[in-house]
Amino acid sequence: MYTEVDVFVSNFTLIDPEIYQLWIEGCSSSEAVTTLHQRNITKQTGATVELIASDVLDHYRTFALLERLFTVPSKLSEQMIFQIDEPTKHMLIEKYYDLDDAVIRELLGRKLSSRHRKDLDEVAERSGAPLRCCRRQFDNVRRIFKAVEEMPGNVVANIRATFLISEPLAKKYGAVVFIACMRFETAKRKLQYMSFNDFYHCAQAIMGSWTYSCTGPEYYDTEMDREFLLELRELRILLDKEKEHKHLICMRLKPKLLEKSYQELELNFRLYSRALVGLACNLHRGRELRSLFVDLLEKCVEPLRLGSWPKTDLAQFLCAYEQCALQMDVLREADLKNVWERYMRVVSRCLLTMYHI
Amino acid sequence: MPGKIKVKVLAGRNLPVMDRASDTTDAFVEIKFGGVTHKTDVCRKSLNPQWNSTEWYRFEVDESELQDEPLQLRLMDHDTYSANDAIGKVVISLAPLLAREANNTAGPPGGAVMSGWIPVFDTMHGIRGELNVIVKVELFSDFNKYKTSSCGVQFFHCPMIPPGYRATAIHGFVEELIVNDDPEYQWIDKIRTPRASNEARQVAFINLSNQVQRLVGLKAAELGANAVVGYQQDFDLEGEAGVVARAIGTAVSITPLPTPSVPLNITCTQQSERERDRERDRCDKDKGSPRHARHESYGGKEPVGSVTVQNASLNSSSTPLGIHRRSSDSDLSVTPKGSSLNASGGVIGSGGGAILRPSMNSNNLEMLEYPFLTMTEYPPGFIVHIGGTVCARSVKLVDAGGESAARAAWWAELRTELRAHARALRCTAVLAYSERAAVREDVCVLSASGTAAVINLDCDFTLDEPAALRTDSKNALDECEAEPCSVAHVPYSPGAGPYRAELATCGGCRRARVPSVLLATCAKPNRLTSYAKAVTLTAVAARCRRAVGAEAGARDLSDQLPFLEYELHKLLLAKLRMQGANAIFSLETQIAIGERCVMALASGTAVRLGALPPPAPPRIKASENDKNAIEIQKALWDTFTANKAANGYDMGSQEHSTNGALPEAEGDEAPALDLCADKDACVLELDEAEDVETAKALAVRRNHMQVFTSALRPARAAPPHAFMQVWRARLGSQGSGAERLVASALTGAAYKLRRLQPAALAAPSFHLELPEDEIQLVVSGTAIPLHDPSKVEHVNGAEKEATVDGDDDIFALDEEQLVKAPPEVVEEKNSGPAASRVSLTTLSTVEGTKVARRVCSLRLLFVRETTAVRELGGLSGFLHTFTCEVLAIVRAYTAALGGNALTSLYLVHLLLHHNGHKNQGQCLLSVGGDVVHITY
Repeated sequence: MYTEVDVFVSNFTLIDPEIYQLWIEGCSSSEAVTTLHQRNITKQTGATVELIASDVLDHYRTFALLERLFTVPSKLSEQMIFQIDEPTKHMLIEKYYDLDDAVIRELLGRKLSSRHRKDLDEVAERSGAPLRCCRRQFDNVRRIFKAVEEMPGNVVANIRATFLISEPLAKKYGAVVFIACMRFETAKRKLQYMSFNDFYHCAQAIMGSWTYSCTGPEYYDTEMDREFLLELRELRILLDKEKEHKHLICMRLKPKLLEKSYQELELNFRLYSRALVGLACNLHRGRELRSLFVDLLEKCVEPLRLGSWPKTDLAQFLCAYEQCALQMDVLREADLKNVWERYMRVVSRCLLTMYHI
Repeated sequence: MPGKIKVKVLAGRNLPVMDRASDTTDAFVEIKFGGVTHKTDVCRKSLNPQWNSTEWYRFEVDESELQDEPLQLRLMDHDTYSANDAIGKVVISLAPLLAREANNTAGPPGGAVMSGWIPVFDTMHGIRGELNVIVKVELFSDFNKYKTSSCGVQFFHCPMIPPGYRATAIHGFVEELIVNDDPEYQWIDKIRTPRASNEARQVAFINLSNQVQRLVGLKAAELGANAVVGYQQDFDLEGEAGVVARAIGTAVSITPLPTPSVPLNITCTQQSERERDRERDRCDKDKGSPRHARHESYGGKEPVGSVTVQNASLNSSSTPLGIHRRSSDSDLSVTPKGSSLNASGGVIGSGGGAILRPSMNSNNLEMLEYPFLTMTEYPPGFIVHIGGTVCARSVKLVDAGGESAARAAWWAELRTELRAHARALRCTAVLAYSERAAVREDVCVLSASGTAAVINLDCDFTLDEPAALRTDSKNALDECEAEPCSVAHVPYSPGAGPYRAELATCGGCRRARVPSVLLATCAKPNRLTSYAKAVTLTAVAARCRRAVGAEAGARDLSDQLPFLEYELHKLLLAKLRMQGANAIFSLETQIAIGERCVMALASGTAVRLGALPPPAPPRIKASENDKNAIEIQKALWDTFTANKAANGYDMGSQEHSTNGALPEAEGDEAPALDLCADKDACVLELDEAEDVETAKALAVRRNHMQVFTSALRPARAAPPHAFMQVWRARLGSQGSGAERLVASALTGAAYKLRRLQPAALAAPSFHLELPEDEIQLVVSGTAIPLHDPSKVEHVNGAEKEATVDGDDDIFALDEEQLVKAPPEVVEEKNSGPAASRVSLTTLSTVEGTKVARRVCSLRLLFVRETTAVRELGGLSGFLHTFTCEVLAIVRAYTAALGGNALTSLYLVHLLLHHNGHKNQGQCLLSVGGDVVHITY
């Protein structure tokens, strides 16, 4: 018998988390039915395929109606059409805005315009997620980006207030929004090895130290502290005192590093130092800032890799590099200690994150 | 000018964008009642307009107009250069407010109020935002004898004396019928827009519905009643011939109980009585069903001793009756009224009618004419004996331009016939009376059905007398009547029945005669002892129509109906036996006429009564060497045993019965494959291929959710889950699919509600229709979460699913959250902010809570059309959206009227038209219930 209508509606909208998860993952209704049926076999609920299908379709219709509301989560509480309890509402929104690391990594650095929505096939192919799932995440990112881009104040707090999602998830979106605002170059082939998590940590570090930190209505933590970037230029003086710097560092690290790393340090100190300071000097230029990750990779990470530094030694070195400079008079005289600390805190963090062996 | 309406429109929210250019809307509201229209200011460029006017829009109107006409608020978008666009409407019937206002004598002045956010509904687009409105109604007293309004009469859909009220008198049956044009079929419909047409239809229907209610109220008022309970209202859409609005109900006089406390026990003087009562109470306590216990306790007769305060007040309120009673105690059966009735009525039951004594009002001729009651649940002691289900049907040809007089005559015919049936069973009244009509083009089948019973109208208010029973077997009366099993006893003496019925000795008292199977349309009387478990049964019979066209079709239908009913009955009884049960309550039968076939659907709750003999195991009659038959016999036997075990009917019955003297000669026989020719024991004859199919179908076991009975304990503060399920499919050949569809309906519901386990299902209602060559089944019901998981036996896989983790961790986590969720919700509810939740239930009470206040009854009707069926996700998507919206609007009205739950919910008249080529669909739905305010 060909069923034309099969609708089940209850006063309290019942949401099955299992089916919702499948919908979120971008399964089509028939895929969901197959999956559930296979799971059911192991659990023996005794439900027939038709019954599962009818239930899945009921849910999918409900989700399709709800999806409109998910785009403005505050509406979900206000609307009267579906009677859903609060914990379920939170679950629905949280999952709807959930980010797939593989997908979001592909979305990073892409233009968030609706024109590019069509080109998501590539994202789907590379991340291995269904196209529907990529679309959802793309739309979510785009929506959140548009909503908070111009909003003053703390970006994470803004996202939380507007989209009613949990703190960890809002932080992720904060990082994505920040990277998009800064238009950091992330899509280069060379950078492909970096996961979303790597970028997330780097972005967190940058947002924590390089943006306008004072929170207030006029401050945006998605905007770089221009004065700070300009001050970075003056770190050039460190290069003049390279010998002194190197000496201090070698003294400090000699007992701590592996012999091999120490040798390497002595040999190539000039190279590393020039890269680190050089980077700082150029950051005030927009183009240089945008290619921050590429530069970090090419100028620092790659040489370090050639020197086959262990990660612990690298951490020691970066720490020493920062501390020793602070001991030097030049920085104190030029009143640059604060700037140096702010710069090195982020760069150390980024390098350690980016330095995969 | 005895009525004043005051309306205030405060604000709107979530309005749709009507002006594409600026992405906003310039909203204003037209408030219309009758011929008068008021307008608010235009709130420019806002999707959340605030009108902030302190102004009340007033209408001063006549009382009957108040009852008939709905208040219409039309939300519009202002356009400077072009015509204003309609956004949607809020249509408010004032009847609920009027009933409250008229009864609000003690309350503060200022009228009954309805206030809150009401969704704005557009027949073409569904819900489009909400309006915050306040509506007040003030009535001026009117003692005009010839008034045409009936504002003071309260209406309850609730099929019993509403909890929280006490009946002082039952006045009898009230009915009304109006015929009107269906705007859909008027010539003007050809030239107006679909929106205008739908809105006209919606308003016309609401008008009609209000009108018929007013007229019923008027009749009730004439009888001296102040309320109508068990109110049922129906529309027959006869197409070109118009639309018939029918309503029936029971007029009663009720007074609210001062506090909704549990009535105190009545102390009985008679020794044996008291003992029995105690025993019963103990039983009930063991079962943990307070409801049950309560009813039982005041079912005790002959309380000569102490009478509680409540009873005293009750007696005083019904003094006239009491006096009358004593004076005419002995010669009641020869009162003039009785004889006049007999003259008009029938041959049998000369003494019968007289028991329906006049209540306080003398003008109760109606009552005597049709001793029908629409309630399904009665106070204990009210039903003396149940005679059985009686039913009358007739096939009629609808003539265009039909008049209400003609329709009324049709129904009068049926009622008379039904009364004669009841008399034939020596019954004095018909309980749980209902009327149904199935219309197909020009042919319609009218059905009237009910349960013939001997009733005791006085039990309710004359507790100081032995229940007055004037049945034919007067000698057996005194002992018999006190037995809890007496309800099941046949009211006629063996051999004197209208037909040759199989009678057995009562399993309770072992003296009186009982039928082997009991079918009744009413709910199971609480005094009747049964096994704890009940099962929902359905049966469908189908027959092909051999002739179409008006007259030929009608004649053919008329010829086929008896066969159809016979088949239905046979199948139902076979299914009943397969469940190991011997009685069906809340039985509903309906006829659906299709283009090429006609179907009958029966549904009811099967129980195993202690008083009735246990059902015999199924046997099959076939030729000796039929291998197939042996297999089927085996399968049937296995299913029978399995069902009995699942229902708990196979174990000793002591724990459930009051007197442990039930026969236990059951279940132990070996499955002997005697293909006997003994006519009495066999279920089926395997003569035709269909019979084999049927037998196989019978052998299939289905796991349903258990039926909610008073023996089950609902979870505290867990709201009931009302649901509605619609199927529509192409009709297979011979309707074989129909039986399967209906039978699997509840399995489907149980699966879809699996997250609620443990839960029980309140008896669902089925609506079968055969539009075009399709079959449409609507099931509406309520799942009630249960308290104790260990009590539920067949929480099969669904329960396991919740405990066994899912495949991935994220999912498992969510489930845990969900499991944890309910207690939090409960807390929220108690603390207040989430109190906006509205529960819906098809039952007359919200189990696990106490009804604090009955507010009023509510009826809404919706017409929805779309020209984008595909975009909405097909017909299913369209219907899904529409149903969700309708439930949302019902909740909004309930909340605005001051309630937080709607009981006795019904969803009927799902009419779904579909034009695939035009991508167009149209749907009509009528929904209603009683608004109550509950506290957890």
